[in-house]
Amino acid sequence: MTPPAPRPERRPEIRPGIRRLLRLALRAPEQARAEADEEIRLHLQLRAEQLERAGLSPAAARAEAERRFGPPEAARERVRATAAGRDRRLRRLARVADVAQALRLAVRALRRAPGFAATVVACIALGVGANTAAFSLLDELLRRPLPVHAPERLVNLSAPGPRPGNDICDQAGSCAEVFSLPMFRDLARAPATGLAGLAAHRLFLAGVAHDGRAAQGQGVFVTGSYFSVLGLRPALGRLLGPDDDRAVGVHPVAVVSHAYWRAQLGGDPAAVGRTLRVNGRALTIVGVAPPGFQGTTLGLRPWLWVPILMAPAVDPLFGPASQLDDRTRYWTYVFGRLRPGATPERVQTALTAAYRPILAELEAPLHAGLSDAARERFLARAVLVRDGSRGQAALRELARTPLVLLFAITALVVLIACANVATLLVLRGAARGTELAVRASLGAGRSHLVGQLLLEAGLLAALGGAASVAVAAATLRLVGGFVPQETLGFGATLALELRPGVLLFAAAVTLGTAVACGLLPALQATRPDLVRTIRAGAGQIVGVSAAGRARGWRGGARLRTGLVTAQVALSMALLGSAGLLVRSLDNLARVDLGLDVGPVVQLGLLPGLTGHDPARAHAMLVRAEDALAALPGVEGATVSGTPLLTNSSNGGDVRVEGFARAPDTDANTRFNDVGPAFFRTLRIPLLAGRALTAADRAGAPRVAVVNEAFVRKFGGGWGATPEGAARAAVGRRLAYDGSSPEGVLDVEIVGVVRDSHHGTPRDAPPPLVYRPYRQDPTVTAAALYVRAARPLPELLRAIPQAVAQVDATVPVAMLKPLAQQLRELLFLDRLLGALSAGFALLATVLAAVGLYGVLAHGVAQRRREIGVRMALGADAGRVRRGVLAQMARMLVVGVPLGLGAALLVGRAARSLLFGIAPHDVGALAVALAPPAGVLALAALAAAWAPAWRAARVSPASALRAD
Amino acid sequence: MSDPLPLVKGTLDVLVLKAISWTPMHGFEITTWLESRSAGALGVQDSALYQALHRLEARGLVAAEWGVTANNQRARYYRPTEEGRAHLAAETTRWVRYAETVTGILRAAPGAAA
Repeated sequence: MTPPAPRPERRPEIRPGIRRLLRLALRAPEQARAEADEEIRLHLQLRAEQLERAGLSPAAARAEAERRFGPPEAARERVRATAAGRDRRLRRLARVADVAQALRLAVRALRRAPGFAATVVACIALGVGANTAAFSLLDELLRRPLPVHAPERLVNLSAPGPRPGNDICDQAGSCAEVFSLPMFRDLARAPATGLAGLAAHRLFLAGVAHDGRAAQGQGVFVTGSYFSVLGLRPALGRLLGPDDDRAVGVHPVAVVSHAYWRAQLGGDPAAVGRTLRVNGRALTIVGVAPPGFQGTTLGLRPWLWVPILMAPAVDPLFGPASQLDDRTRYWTYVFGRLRPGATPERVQTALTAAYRPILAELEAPLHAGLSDAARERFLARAVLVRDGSRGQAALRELARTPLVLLFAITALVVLIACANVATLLVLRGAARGTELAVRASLGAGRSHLVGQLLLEAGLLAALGGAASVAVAAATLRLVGGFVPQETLGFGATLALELRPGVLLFAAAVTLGTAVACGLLPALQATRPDLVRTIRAGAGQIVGVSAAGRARGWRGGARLRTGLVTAQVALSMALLGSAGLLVRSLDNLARVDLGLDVGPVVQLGLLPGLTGHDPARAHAMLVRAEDALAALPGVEGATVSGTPLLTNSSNGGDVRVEGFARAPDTDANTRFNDVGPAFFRTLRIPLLAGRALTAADRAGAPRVAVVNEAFVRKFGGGWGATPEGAARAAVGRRLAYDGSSPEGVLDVEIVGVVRDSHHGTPRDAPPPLVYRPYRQDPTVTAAALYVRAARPLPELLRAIPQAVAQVDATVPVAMLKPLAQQLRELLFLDRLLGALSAGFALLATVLAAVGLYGVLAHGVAQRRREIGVRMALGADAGRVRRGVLAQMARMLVVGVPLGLGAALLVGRAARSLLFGIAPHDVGALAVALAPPAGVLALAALAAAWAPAWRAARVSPASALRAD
Repeated sequence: MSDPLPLVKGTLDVLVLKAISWTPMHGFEITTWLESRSAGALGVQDSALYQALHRLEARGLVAAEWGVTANNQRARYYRPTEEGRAHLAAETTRWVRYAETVTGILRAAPGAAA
């Protein structure tokens, strides 16, 4: 056989590279099979011809050709299959090559404009980062469910309404949410309520000593059903159960938290069985809770869980064991788990049906002195059942409005950043007009160009998104610095870290930003009339005949101006909101507290927690007070049973001489058990009578000092003027419902002092009775305040030493200047003020950048026009004013819009604002004027350089330019 | 002609690459070239050849494009890519070494020194 004939004249050109791959990418799959068929057809035809030439008949040749090809259908099918497979593979490769090429182009394009790229990345990073941090806070505090089995089946119980008796609330919820222990047991036993289990708990301060080391933390008293309702399994040993809930004081056991076990017990696998001394009492560890579980109260991380019937033995602040059976003492928080198929509404009906008969039969008779109206209200109370998937917390309600506001603020910042990025992209697209037009003329489709521009925007967004994680982490750290680590009593700590869900949120926002900011500019930059753009760029003066270019530029200008005006409006809104919050903070800081915070140091002593019996603890406080007063340089030292400038208070009802009291009258007042030097140390002015002295101690007649608010509330007929009433109050008598004997007013009022704020400055001072703590041996824990002329650091060192000399086993807690305590009291306001101001300034900078970009671009575009104008006689001043006028036009629209939005925000968040009523025009104007000024300054600064440059345009060079 | 030798697995690819290494050919041309070169000693089913061609294309060793034959018929022409040429050279070397080694062993006389 001879080799085939020499090559035909037409050599097929096979062009390698992108074009071919691109075309391949567009083929339909059936095309491969059709082509394979064609190949086979040609092959068979040529083979048949060859065989014919060798002498076979056409039919035989055909048959032989088919035989040599292979078994008929199967062979063809295999060939078609390989052809289709080949196409698929090549298509995949083409797609990958496409993407790689596009990415390379995008990176190259961005490298050519590093300043622009850096600005865009920074904008996105700051905006998305701030928003992610806010979302993280929101998620942590408001949304995160408990890490237990099926948290959505948990419900919290509450019973709002009036009830006489004593309640101790403010821990994990409001006063409506506490129950007495007997009532809890009754509800837990009620049949067919639709609940799979009911549990009660209560937090307590735990001084835990282990291996000789002592530390203070939180513990939780729980009923036997607690862990089973939550559906938890122990990490080690066992969890508490019904067998630990049988009798008072006979279950000296505890379950420790996983974190405590790791940190303090070293993760010892033999920890079960070891002993802890809790508040002086020995408890045996029976198990370790699962990792990640930190109780059901937001922000608090208890170290251990103890059976509730151990409360009188373990918690020195609890009181007598009889409280466990007292139906008029409400102190436990209750939650439960729904049975499968049960709904909260059904459970609520069933529980209320069980609750009311108990109220009527067992509890109402205990409250003898109720009026009929009050009794009716008492019996009409119902049990409310609410979602409990997030546990219980007072902090959550407190933080809700501020957090939502914060999230809204950061969302605005993201919008501004988006608008800024879009503006920058539009400007850049306009600058690249020529390049894009050339590419379009070379055959790139519009969708291809738009895709390319979107990819560039996406790349920038991806970089910005990655950087935003760092910004978010830094913001959270900053926020963490504001939240006080502990307050006297129960501290709240927040774990501020970025969780995967939050990062996902950041990625989604980034993606949205990329598409939103990139699409419009990309579409705008690739408009079909670009050819005219190229032609028009060659030396035509605007306004003469290049109608297309003029139109295009104006249309683009409207978009750009609109974007910048939007940014101005949003920035003004943010600045205005920040101005309102800052002024509110300022107002709060200016409130006259009625006491002199000055050079005063606070500390807390809880001798009851180290195992001292009440008498020894009380005596220790007295000795500590004297020792601190005796320190050199100290002007005064005093005890205060209720810590000042915190949110805790202690109160009860009183009978007052001359005050008519019916069963329903509000006779509540606040108490504070204080030392003799209290008013002197804190510089609270005395208005009438005398202050407390050292003579007012145990055994002496009971006395008290009251404040002006008390006189106003209880001394209606005592005097015509406040001063007269105060003087008349001295010598009157009163009695405490809790501790005074029946029918006798055994306490004499010996003095009246000015009102002072012991709690938040937002509320007016309540009526307050100051009792000498030395007359009350039940005071076993207190805060102490020391005023000194010495420098504070010295004092902070000297105090613990002095206390240690009195009693080395009692640790000093919460040692800090009182001024710092005040700052921590206002931490939420300070945090909001600082964050909103920071974000607002950030937004203003962004808006200024956008403004600068648009003005500068406008000046560059209109160089020729300006040159002509100046050649025709316009002076530099007029040109400058023209640019400034352009800026002013944007301000005139944006600023009022922004101020209006700020006012709306102020109205929505009025619970946060102090001293600025929604309709108080004067206060609003004072609050909003500085922000408006800031924005105007920023706009002026942004417009200065372009205006100056416009005025410097030399007509000759401008006209010569093209 | 004696019975056609069955093709050792994998060699069809190399043979095809060799066939088109001078000039692009379409499927039938490759078939006739192989038949003439081997004087019919190799038994290759035509369909197997096309499958091999498609697979080579998928692996990026050959590139194909539609062209026109001398008789104005539409045919798909195959030519090797750079990777294809490199693959051909490497495989040729390997094959020759392998064949020489095996031949040497099989043809060795009994008791011949190693």
